[in-house]
Amino acid sequence: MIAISADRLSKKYKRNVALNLATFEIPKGSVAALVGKNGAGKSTLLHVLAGLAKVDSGHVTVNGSSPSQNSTWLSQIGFVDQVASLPSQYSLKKLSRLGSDLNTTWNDELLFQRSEQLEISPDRRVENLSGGQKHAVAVLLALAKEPAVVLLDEPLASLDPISRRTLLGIFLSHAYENASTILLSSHLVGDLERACDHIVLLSKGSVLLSHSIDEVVGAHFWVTNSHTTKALLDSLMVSPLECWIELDSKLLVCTSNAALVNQLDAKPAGLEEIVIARMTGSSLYRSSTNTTEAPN
Amino acid sequence: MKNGRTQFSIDRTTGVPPFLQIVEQVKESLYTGKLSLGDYLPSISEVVRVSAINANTVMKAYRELETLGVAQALQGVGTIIIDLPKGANPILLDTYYSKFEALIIQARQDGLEWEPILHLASTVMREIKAKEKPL
Repeated sequence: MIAISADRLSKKYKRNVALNLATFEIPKGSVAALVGKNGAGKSTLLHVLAGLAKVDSGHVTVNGSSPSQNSTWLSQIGFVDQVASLPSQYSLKKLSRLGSDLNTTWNDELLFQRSEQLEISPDRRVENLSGGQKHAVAVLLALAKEPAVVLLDEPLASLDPISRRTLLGIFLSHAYENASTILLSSHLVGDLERACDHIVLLSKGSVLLSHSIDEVVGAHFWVTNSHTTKALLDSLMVSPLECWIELDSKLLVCTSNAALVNQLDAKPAGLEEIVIARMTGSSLYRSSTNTTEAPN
Repeated sequence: MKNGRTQFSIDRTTGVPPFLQIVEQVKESLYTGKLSLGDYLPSISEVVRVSAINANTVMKAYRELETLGVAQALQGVGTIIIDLPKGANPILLDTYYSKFEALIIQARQDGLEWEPILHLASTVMREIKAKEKPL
C-alpha cells in the first residue's frame, strides 16, 4: 500500500522553480528520509503534502486523498514546520489540554512519557525551553493525535546527539506501533541511515532517487578510477549497469549485476557517500540497454 | 543477554547490510557467552525505541536468525535462542580459544606487532577460504 504518492509535481515561485516534475511513492509504514541541498525544494514539497501549498501542475495523494482543509483528512496528518510556532506562555501540560480539546484522538499518556524520555518538564513554559526542545515539543504534540502520516521538516536540527537518538527512537516506535508513515527532511544522513528504510533524494525540485535504502546501498560500489576500469565499463553492454559517477579519484558504480561487481573488485559504499556522489559527482554517464558504437 | 540490556548498533560505513550486522551481533553474543540457549532476544518494539533502528531491519534480522536455525519466534512471547550457529560448537570454540591464545602470545613474545599478526591471520583465512570454495 502506498501512503504518499506524488506524480509530476511542479511549482514555481515567480521565476524560481521550486518543484520540477517531482515523482515518487512512499509505502505505508515506511520511515522515509527527504534529503537534498538547501533550496532543493524539500520544504515546498512538505508544504504541498500537508495541504499548505498548491502545485501548479501534477497530482498528489496523501493517506488516500488529495491534501485539503477537510477536517477528517487533517486529523490523520501530522505536520511540523521547520520553525515551529507554539504559544510561548504555555507549558506542555497546558498545550496537551488544548490538544485534547481540539482533536478527536489524543494520547497524553504517551506524550508525557516521551517528554520525560527527552527530559522536558511538562510544567515548563515554551519560552523557557531551548530551540531544540521547543521543536521537540511541537513534534511530540503532532504525534499525540496519532496521525497516519507524519510530515516533519528538519525535526532533528538543533538537538544534541543524545536527544536526537531519543527522538528518532520515538519516531520509529510511533511508525511501528501505529503502522503509520513518516517522511522527515534532514541533512544528518548519518542519523537517518540507521532509522529510515526509504530515501527520497531531491535536487533542484526533481527527484533523483526514491528507493528503499537497503536497495540503494546494496547497488552502489566504489571501483578504482583507471582507464582499464572505464574501458571495461564501456565494453559491458549489460542492462543492469545503470550508471557510474566520477568523484575525486574514485568511480561510484550503480549496478545490481553481481558478476560485474566481482569482476571490478568493487567495494561497498555508504549511504552518505552515495548521497554526496549523486548530488555532486562531476560527471554522470548512463549506459543505455543497447550500447552500440556511435556512428562516425 | 539479560533482558533490557541488549543494544544493537548499525554502522553503515562498512557496507554490510544493517540486518546482517544485527545477525552478526547476535552470533557474536552467542560465541562470547553473552547470550545463551533459551535466552530471549529483545522485542522489536524495544530495539526500535532504545536503539533507534528501523523495525523492518530488526524483523529481517530475526527472520534471518530463524532461517539459520538459531532463533525461533514464539507467538506473543518473543524470539528465543534455540541453537548455536552452524560450525560454532561451544566445546570447539573453547579448545580453539586456548590454541589461538597460545599462538598469539608466542607471536608477541617473538616480537611481532599487532597489525602484522592481524594481517597474517586474515591472509591465511582468505587463502584457505579461496581453496575451499568450489569454482
